[in-house]
Amino acid sequence: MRKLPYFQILCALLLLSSLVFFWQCIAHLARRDYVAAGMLTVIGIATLWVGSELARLSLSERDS
Amino acid sequence: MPLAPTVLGINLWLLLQVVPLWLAQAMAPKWLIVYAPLPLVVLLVGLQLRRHIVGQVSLLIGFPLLLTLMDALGPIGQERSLPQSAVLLKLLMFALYLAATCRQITHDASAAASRLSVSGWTVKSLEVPRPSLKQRRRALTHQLLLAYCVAMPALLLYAICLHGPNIRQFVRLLGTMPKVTALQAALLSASTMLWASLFYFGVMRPLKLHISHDPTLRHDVSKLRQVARRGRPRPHLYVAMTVALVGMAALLWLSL
Repeated sequence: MRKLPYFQILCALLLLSSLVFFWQCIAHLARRDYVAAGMLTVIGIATLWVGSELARLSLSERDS
Repeated sequence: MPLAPTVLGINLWLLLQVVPLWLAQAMAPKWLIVYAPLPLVVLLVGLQLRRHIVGQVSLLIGFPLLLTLMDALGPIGQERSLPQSAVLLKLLMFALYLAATCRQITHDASAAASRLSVSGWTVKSLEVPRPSLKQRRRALTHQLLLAYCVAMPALLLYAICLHGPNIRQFVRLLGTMPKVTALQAALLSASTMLWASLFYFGVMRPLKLHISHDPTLRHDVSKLRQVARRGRPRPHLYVAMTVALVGMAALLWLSL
């Protein structure tokens, strides 16, 4: 039975969610809510970072 | 027979063997007196055969080892024959003997090599092979870089200081010639610094690193590969997760 690639699915989800955060950031910038926009940027970058680390883990899991 | 090793060796023999035997006199065993000339014989034979390995071994190992026969006298002989100053003298003599012998052996070897006759040899120069395409391309690149090094600053110098229309524009802009000269000097120094920095960081440094096979980059890449292959998450995963969660919590708290 083929194992589900959890890490890869999670990684794709995180990368997509980071895009959602950036989109929300732009929306808040349009409303001149700069604090929220800044926080959303930080959250988006952190999510992107977590996604990239999970992508690395999924690759190492696939190689092993 | 070479003078320095012979004299120093005989001196060493006298100091280490004959004098203690003479001082020990009746206390010395008979066999030791019989064997006393043996180191001298080994020394002389070794000096005669110093161009052969047997002679060299007997000079550097055999003769010094045979001199240690005096240890058989034990404390009786040593008390009388080994005052503090004599020990220093013997050590100095031994070091000088070893140095002189080694020097003589190397001198003999180099003299033998220089005596090798080459008059009968036919000397013929090797045909120089045509450089490969890669080597020619590399040489051409270096020549082009050299030309670029000269041409580009020369062009800047011409444009700033010698080109007529530019100078007329400077005069029209600033009014007087001293001001134009000051501006030209400032422009020249700025362009020279910029050019030198750009050329070094953009061309010469990458080229130098490429020629030396970029050891730092290779080390970094191999380290990164090792880290990437490791199946454990790095600490910054937890930091990023914490930042994202705290940020989202703060955003929710602020929006409520």
